[in-house]
Amino acid sequence: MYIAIGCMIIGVVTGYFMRGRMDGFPLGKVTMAVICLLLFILGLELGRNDMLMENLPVLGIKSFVIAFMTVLGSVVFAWILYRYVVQGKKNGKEDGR
Amino acid sequence: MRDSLVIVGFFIIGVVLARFGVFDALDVTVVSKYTLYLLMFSVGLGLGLDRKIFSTIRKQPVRILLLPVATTIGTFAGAVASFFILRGLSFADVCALSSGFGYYSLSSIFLNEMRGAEIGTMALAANIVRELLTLLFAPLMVKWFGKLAPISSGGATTADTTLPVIAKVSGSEFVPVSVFHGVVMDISVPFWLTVIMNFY
Repeated sequence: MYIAIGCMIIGVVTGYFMRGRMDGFPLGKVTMAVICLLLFILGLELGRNDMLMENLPVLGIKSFVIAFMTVLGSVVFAWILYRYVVQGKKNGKEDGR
Repeated sequence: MRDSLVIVGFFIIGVVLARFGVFDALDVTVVSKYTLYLLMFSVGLGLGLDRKIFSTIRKQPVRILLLPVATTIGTFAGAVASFFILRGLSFADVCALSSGFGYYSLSSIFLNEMRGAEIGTMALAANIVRELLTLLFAPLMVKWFGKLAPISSGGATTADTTLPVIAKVSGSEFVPVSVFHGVVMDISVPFWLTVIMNFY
């Protein structure tokens, strides 16, 4: 885990010093290819595991519950921020005039 | 959106080939570990090369900088709720699955390494669904929860995949906020995963 974060930090530093010298480099495509390879590998691991394949519908439903609840929590807190911090401050300024 | 479909396509091809016994002899864990390091490097490289990111962040009003905090608190509140709804998942696993913030590639690969294929697969599904929910319901989110809601919902994806939709439903003045939010959430994913791994 720490090695992976270290790789990201090395990437940031490398990118900073390579600015303007990598303009033709298709970084987006390379990143996309790496992601595809990794997800392909994840697919292989899932596919060769019979126990996981049998439990796939259950895993899917559980994943959906987590996605739905985290989105719900996020929008509620975004709403609180929008209402009391962003809009509240704006209204406060108008009242003061 | 198209990229997401291509990525899911590769995942499905992997599953199908494995069902037919192709690549049975390949030791995938070693390959995936070094490919993960390569991915982390290229994500960092992209951030380092981008000239606009840091000036975009500096121009934001201070209060807007709280949005990633709101997203994080909201997401973990959702994780607590999920823990009580679902059975058979440890609290740490639910938190780890939630802390992808929609960044399915990184989170599924990390968790596959640390927790095995079951949690890795769930991380892929949970985080792809988070992105899809954001893409599909962004207009309703703005209507019910205000203009920051789709950004918060999009989590780590708001600097790239969900940005066009957010620009459309919240307005183009929210694009810098969305980019800032996406970058902060992106960076926070490996941070949270590391923290949560210490709780197992």
